[in-house]
Amino acid sequence: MEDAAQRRLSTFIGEATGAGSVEILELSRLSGGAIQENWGLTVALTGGPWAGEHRWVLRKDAASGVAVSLGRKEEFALLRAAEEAGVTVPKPLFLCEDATVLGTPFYIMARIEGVALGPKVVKDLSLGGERDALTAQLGRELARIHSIAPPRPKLAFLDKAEGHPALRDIARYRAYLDEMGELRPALEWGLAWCTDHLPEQHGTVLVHQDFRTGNYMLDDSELTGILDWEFCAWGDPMSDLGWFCAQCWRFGRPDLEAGGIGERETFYQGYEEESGRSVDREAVAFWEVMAHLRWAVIALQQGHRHIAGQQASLELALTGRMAAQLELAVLDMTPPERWSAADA
Amino acid sequence: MRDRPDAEALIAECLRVLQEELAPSLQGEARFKALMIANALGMAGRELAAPAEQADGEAAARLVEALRRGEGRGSAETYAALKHDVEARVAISNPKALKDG
Repeated sequence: MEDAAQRRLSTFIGEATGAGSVEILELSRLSGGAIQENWGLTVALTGGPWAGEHRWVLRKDAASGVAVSLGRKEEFALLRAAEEAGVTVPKPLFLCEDATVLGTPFYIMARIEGVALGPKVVKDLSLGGERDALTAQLGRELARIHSIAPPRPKLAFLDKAEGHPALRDIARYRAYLDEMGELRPALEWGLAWCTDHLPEQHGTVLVHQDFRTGNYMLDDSELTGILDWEFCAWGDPMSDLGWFCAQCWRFGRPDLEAGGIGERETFYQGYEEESGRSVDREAVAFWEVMAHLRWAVIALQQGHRHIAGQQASLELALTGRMAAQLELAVLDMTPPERWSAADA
Repeated sequence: MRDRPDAEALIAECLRVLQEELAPSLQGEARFKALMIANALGMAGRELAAPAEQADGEAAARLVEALRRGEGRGSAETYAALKHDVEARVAISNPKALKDG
């Protein structure tokens, strides 16, 4: 980051914290893609309530960001709401909507430590403490997210379905397939099954929509935070349980049905105890079919980013080729005998 | 008639060098990328070796339209054809996913 931008950032931090002087000790790019950038930020503050040294993360929109997910301002509001609901998140600290500071809006949050990478989380049992306890805790964390329900003026930007949320999703997936010019009869088979087997609805709550292994961080002893809030919407709570338990997010441990880390019932138990809401097993099974359909469509979209030359990337190219195995999973979950008699 | 070693044989040899000689000495990001390249080369090799598909785009488009209209719900015949097609593609993209199932 150029010197002038760093000086403007120091000024912003000084105003936000009431510090007399701000020294930036470290500012380095951590990770991120085309949509947002994460920077490691360490500062030494003199004076004011924040005096001392702090390790933070600065998260900003990329200059060329495409608005396919929520922006940083919305994400900051979601982190605030999640924190108030008792969800383990990196504490959101300061939001800067003034694009003259760094070119795009950004916010600063506490830096949490640990590992999030799905395969590593599943394999390395030294992470996150005892696994049954962790599995139940993740159920409780999700229940706390689902304790946030509309109307919430500060979350008025969130998308809300008219009618059954699955029908909204099905229409979207078909539109995305058409936009890409993808003819995928196996996915259409799955979408038709879902259309015919809509589950009972269980109210409208804040759904995270990417709550899965790979999107929470563990250190040597515990869960340090739930990440990736940019896909949130108002929706059916069972959809998040289906996403978490879906076979495509078990990272080589298909036997551990709760995200490759624990037993499904342990996860459900944590969820039920915290939420007071019973898990509708049949609805979750439906949402697991939807999860594979959604991930297949997203995988194809990522592949198309490479194909269309928007972003040359071997990782995106290989993600596109994952669609076939997701199609197979969809077919395996929706054989003719699982179609209700009226439709067969 | 093409010269030998042909495309399949060249890919197989690249894969061998990558997996046996290069990848073991790599770490972190470089190792991750080497494994992605091995994955892609393996897939490309299997695709070249697979019998040529008679892709019928019109038939696929008709099937997509029919399924969207709600026709052929749960048809065992349609299901068997879809499964056959998808399994052939998974045998190229990720044969391990077939064995696991």
